[in-house]
Amino acid sequence: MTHLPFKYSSNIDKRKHIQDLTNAYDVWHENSNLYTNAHRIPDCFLDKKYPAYHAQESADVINADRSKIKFFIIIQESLRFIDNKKPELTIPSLSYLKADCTYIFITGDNFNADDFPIYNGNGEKLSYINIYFPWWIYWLTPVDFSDPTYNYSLTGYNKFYDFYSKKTVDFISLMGTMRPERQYLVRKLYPKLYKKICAVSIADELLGHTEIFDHDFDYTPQQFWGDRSVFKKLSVAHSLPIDLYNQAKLNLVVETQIAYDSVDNFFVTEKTIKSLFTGIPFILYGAKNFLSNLRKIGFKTYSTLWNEDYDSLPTHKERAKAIVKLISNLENFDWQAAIPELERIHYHNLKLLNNRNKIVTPAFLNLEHKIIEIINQVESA
Amino acid sequence: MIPLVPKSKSLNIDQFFSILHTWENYRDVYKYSSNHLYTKFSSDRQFPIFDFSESADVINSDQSSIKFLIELKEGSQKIPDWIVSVNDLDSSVHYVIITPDKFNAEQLILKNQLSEKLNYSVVWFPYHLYCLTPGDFFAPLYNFCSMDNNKFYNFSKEKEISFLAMSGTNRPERTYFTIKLKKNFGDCSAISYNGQTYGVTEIFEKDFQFPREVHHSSLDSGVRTGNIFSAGGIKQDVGHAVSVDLFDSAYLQIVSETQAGIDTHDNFFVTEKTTKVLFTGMPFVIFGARDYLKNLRELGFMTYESLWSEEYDSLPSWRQRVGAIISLLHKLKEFDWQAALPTLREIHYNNLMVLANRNKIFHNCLLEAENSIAKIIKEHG
Repeated sequence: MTHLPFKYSSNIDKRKHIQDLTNAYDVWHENSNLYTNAHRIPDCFLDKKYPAYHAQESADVINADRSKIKFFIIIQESLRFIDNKKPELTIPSLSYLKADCTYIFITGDNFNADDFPIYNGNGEKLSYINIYFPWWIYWLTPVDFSDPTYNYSLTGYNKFYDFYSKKTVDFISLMGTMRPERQYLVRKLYPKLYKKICAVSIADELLGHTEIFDHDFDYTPQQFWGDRSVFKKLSVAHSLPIDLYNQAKLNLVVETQIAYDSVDNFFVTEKTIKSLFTGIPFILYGAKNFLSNLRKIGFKTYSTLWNEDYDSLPTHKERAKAIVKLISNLENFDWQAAIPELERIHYHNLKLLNNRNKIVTPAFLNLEHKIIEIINQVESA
Repeated sequence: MIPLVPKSKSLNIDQFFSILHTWENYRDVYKYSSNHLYTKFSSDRQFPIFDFSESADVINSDQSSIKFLIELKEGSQKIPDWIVSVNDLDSSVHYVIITPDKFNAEQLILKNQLSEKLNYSVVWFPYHLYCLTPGDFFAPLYNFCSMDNNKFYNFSKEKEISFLAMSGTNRPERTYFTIKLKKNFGDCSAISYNGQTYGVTEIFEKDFQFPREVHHSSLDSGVRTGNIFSAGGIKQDVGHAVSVDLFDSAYLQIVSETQAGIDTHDNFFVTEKTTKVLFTGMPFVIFGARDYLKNLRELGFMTYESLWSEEYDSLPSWRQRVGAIISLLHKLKEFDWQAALPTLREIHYNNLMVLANRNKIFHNCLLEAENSIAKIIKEHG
């Protein structure tokens, strides 16, 4: 039985993500040889152990270890988490790390380390490699009654979008924290907000057809999830507000990482998964080629029904403008006639979410391959 | 909190309490979830719960007026056997049997060796529905999610045979049914039964992906011994996987459910045999207990009554049901599967959503369990 080549070097209270990843890997590896004609996955990493740190570990602890390779497990985060220019998000220890070893980041974002150099406080470039692991796709859509992170499965709820019920607004958009790129989009949406054809929540503020937020919908209370940015003390992000979705013809998904226009990146979060899972049609304000990357994984988007060219525009401002224009064009869209195609898209995506082992198996194989490659390179240097 | 105290150390009890506690902890997470819906139990009343395999000595030594017995994986057919102590149980107490089989205690009389009638009630807990579509890479009971194989039936793929029938352990009703199938459809069906293959047996020799013969101590909760058949020199454990490549070779699966031969009392015991076809989308005819399909539809699943007659389902004796199924299969040999594709996909789409929404089934089931238990305590406690 092989395990990822980690020794837990983070303090015990910070080990969760490391343990989550290693546990997931162990179950995958154990099961991967179960089938008669399956690709046999050899045991690897049997003797090797390198320190693995949680992103919040202190530099003192990290620097004290003399290993040539050190892992950072940041599976729930992305490029923005290592961006020194954004100190509120950045891994605090990055500025204090020694440039005397190779760091391996395992993140939920497929960016290339060469495109995004990191320097410590002495101006030394840190040698690091990013390995992409699509944790959110693996993790969301949990089993019923398992301890839920996003409560998709709790209580007696229906989880699926109702294509046939009467809609109150053209679109809904539920955003969390205020960020410049989100603010930019909201400003562009002002005419629609005035016309009240949409309902938007951003950083506790409700805009547009705000009455729909006053309905007796069932949301997760904020206190259950801690200090998340939410509206009306309710955590929409951490539940599946299907009754609210059912008020709208469309969900304008505002993804977490939008504004790194100079670096190719792809970081899927629960914001996207919730639309894919429930089936609510969506337009997605994300990084360049976000939809294209989703399609490469196997998901279907809405290019058969409307133009999704906005996805490939190089800057987030251009994408925001194109999205607002598309929303205007969709004001006269025949949603009734589109239902069969919308259902086909949902059926396809629901199957893929239930087949996401097909996505995660290549990701685990890639993880193994990259780790072995890097270890061999560094050890032989 | 349901007032039960475990008195046996067993996996059945662990699993039941794990599900129950999660449900109890999270059912009020939502803002408008109404506490008043839930039964309030007195905190100072506790009743013992024993595993089905517990000895009569242990069960009888407890002085409670109500005693709970639990078995999550077997139906009422096994009750006289699986309650090892049934012969020695004290008839002066009231028993509550928690079982995955929905049946009426009044129709299944249990007596001890003194021929005293045992007073008991049934609480339905459809464990197979709960556990059978696990999240990927969680240790799987039936390995639905292991490896990177597709899990869904391919409606469009060219079919080599009309029907596929796979059943395990030798039982009189299955032997009767298998003889009929061999005689009538041996030229267009692949049949496996009790370790032997019949009809177009070449199908089983193909290099499909099956799980190896393994005793899944780390994956599964029980001891597994029932390999369905041996092919290519390898014992295949079809029962514990979705062998969708094999499914793809046929238009229809003939499912022989576990309790097909029980005509003495109404019962509804869903096992992996059914959830596999619901999940994968493969069209099916089910040889089960009377009204089995009707009970499935009451849970929200769609069956095939819009495409062919399912009247066989309501016939009172299993021999009649076999006869009607054989007649139906003769008609289905000529069925236009191509024309039915949109409906077949619609049925699968619906069933996949019901499975993904099975928290609704469980929520209702647990609410009903609470109410039943409260009523039993009031009457017998």
